[in-house]
Amino acid sequence: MEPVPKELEGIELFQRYLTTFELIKTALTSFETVEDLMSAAPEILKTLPEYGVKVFQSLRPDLVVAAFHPKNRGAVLKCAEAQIPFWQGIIDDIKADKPQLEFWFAQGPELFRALGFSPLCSEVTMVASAMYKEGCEDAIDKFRMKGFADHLCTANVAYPGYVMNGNWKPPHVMVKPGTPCPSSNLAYQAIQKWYGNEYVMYDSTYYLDKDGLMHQSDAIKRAIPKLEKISGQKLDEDLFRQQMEESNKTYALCGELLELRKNKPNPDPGMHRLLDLLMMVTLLGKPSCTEYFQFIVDEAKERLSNGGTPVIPEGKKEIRALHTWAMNAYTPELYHWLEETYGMTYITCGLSYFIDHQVDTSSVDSMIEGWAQRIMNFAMERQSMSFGDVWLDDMIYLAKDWDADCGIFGGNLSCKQGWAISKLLADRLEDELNIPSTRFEIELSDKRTCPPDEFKHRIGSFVETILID
Amino acid sequence: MPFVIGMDVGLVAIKGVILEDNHNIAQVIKETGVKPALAAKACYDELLTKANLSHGEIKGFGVTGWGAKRVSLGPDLSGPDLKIKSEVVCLAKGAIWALPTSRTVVDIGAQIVKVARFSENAKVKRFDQSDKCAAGAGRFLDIMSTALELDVARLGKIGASASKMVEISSQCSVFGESEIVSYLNTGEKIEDIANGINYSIAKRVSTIVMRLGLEEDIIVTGGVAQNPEVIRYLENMLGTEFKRYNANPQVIGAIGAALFAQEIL
Repeated sequence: MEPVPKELEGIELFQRYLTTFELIKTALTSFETVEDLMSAAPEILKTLPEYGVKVFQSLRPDLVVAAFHPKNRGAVLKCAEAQIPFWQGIIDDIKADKPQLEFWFAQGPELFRALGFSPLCSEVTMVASAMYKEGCEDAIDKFRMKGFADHLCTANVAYPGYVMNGNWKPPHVMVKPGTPCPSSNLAYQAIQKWYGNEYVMYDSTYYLDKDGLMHQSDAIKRAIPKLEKISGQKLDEDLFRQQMEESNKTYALCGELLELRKNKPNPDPGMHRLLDLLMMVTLLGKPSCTEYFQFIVDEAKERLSNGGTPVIPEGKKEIRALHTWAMNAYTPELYHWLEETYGMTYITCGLSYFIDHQVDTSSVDSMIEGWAQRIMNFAMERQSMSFGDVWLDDMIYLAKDWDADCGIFGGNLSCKQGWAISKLLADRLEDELNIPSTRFEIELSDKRTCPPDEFKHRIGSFVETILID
Repeated sequence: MPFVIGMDVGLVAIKGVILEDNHNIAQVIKETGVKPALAAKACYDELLTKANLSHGEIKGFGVTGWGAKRVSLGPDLSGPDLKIKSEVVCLAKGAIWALPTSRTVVDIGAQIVKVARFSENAKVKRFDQSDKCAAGAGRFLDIMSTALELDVARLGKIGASASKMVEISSQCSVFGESEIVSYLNTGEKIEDIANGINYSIAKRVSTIVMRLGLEEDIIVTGGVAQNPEVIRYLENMLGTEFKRYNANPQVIGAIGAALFAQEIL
């Protein structure tokens, strides 16, 4: 990996994200088309500092083209506008030595903010690295070079790679439930061993019922005093309530958005799903997150009233795809390509299936329970529940009520949870709903497992089987 | 009925056919090489020669396979538009052509194993394929036969005369090759090693087939279909009998591509 300049030691990755979102905002507010942007690029480059030029040149052209498409650009801009202050805040907090907490992605950041931390999702690289030609493969390899197996999930192991290289300052504490995710468990343990920071792991539950919820929320309650000791601050009930009330609004909009996707054609572009995930893991509990989802809900409604750019080209027959596990997080513009090429729209996927659970904010206990319930509802956690039947039932429900034409299982190669149910899921889709499905191996953040062209080829082959009558 | 050409541009071999009134009147199988467009053009010309036809008599041209998008007839020839279809739909179409009662096709190609279940009108209901590794596909047999200094076409016959089976434990082609060299050095007989290779590939294919589920009748296509020992092992493992048909199993995808071209004339 490239050495980190001294002035960016510990914050380089966050500075890169900040610079990128600033560039995206400037590009989308200054130019109508990507052609305009490219013709102005030589002049723009002259005005940028050396670091900005480097970031500009590392952006993936296909993603930029997709971001400029009228159906995508509004959401991309809204997301960029929200991300700029977020990353600036992370950099400022690190410089001010505010207690830094890194959390596994199924948890929301609200509780951690109320405990006085500057929280950051460790798997944020999974979504943010999609913006760059180089992705995060160098960071993944950096971690592997320490002797770790190459079948560990790339959504988790880029994080320690960046820490090792100095792009990311080790946090004061890392927090995760004990979910059966060996990759994150190993990565976090390694960081703790190498850098001596705290690691708080609390127990997970395997049953999605009242007892399971009590078990989960009790485990969280037992972890809170440890976190208070690390941050030196008691849980701020008012701040927690404020955050949870805000995230209630966000989740309500997620629910509304999912309902809107029942319409035909689906009025919500597939490329938004990666933006949704980025917004949830960085800004949930903040008004800017709610505003982003409000924007895309409004945009989808506008499309339904024939007022906006259609998601699939006029005259193309819609194919409604349910992505039954993960998205491909390294080239999200491929979902734009599927819409344009085949008229294939994106109902949802495991990583963008945000179940609207409204949290009772009347007391700290009720808020912790609600926060726990959302963890149990999130990807990875929900798949681990019971014997897999919870997730299978979810997917059948989504396929049926959203009238899916097909299921696509882009299985993260390293994810045991996902692969364990892939055939059960395919069988149920076929037996109960007569819906065809396919499956193939990807890695969430490593394009070397299934390069973009191979991805296109595999999904394209499958889509053609659906198109033949 | 007009003449149509179908071509399946695989990673290792290019397969071409000419259909006239649903009958395969000429077929060519060539190495794809590093320039699939040139190989496809050579295949096209050879097909015309074999069938004693001129370019102008070809009314449809369907292409499938890994290299389909790289195929063109070149600037000097204007002719039928290329119709590109995915391998899976062409395999299903070709399978129905080869055996109208077939409902599952197991294609063991050079690099990828594909399995598809389909309806009587060749509509694919479900398909699966091997992922990034070529273990379990034809290339595995090529590498292993090279290590044994055998012609790959003889691997089945030689394996059939084995007195025991040498276990090939690796699923990786590279490691599998090392295993074979070790067995040769420890004095294992070639036929016993060949037997182990045939078994190993059948085992790998069987997991993909079972993941998809079987629906009778089943046919096997692709180059490996010509290895009777792999087929025998696979039948035993799956507890079924594959149906035989009167066509070269390597050209079924190309036939499917030709049938699509014919449909849209």
